[in-house]
Amino acid sequence: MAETPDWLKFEFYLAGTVLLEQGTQTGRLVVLRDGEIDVVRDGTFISSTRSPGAIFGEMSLLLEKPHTATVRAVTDVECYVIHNALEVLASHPAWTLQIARLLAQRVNSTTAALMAARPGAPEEVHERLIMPHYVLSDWGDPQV
Amino acid sequence: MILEAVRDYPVTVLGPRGVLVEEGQKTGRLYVLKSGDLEVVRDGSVVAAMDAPGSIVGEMSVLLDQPHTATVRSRHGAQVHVVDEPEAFLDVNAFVSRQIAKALALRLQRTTGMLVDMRHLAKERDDMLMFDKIFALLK
Repeated sequence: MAETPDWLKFEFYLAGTVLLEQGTQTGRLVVLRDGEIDVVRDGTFISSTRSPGAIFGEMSLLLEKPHTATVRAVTDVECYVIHNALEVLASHPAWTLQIARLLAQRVNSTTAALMAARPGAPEEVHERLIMPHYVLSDWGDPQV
Repeated sequence: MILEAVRDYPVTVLGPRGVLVEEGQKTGRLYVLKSGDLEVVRDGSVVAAMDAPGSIVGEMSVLLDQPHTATVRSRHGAQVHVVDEPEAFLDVNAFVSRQIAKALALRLQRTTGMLVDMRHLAKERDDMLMFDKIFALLK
């Protein structure tokens, strides 16, 4: 079993906890492992996810701007958290590449949606970046 | 900084209206503009233009391992560095991956913003149509 690297923290949050707060700049990257998380902007619900591997905080991190939404634990959640993620990314190019790849997929799908946008088109889809399973399994199980 | 990293990579020279990559072609290569200009053409119309040395082309195709989704050509001529094995190059030059990721994040922010605006407009238009219909019924 792969050992969890030391820059990767395994964290547990109780339902209702705010993981990333809109307007703050945490430099953190959060990857959902188990549980449900929702995203709220200006008090309005945007989306929720239960997908293991879903990433939060990547836009703020890459653009070096405050988080544009609040990320909250709906249920008790287990997460991988990377603090000072920019530094970590700088020394883990494969990781940056993985995030770039996920972003490229999203650029593709929003561009396609833009082309298809017309009256009566389906409502906005709020997709998350989801880490592939093999990346998560590489991190191994946390030794708690 | 990126020009420094690609300094020793081969350079291809394009004349006016010279084509770098064709839409649908899969080159597996990353291109870095050394000098001159490049424009991105999709379905016959120019969707982007660049003339900043160090501009990167082909990153979507490389990242997604798929054919180029647009044609890239030069208007007045250009010199372009060709990176044949981008994965190895990016592995050594982490800051380039970072730069690509940042550019993608910006693009995503822009396209998402446009999508939201467009859907609001579409909804307003739907509301107007609905209003017209109701109004027609009342007449």
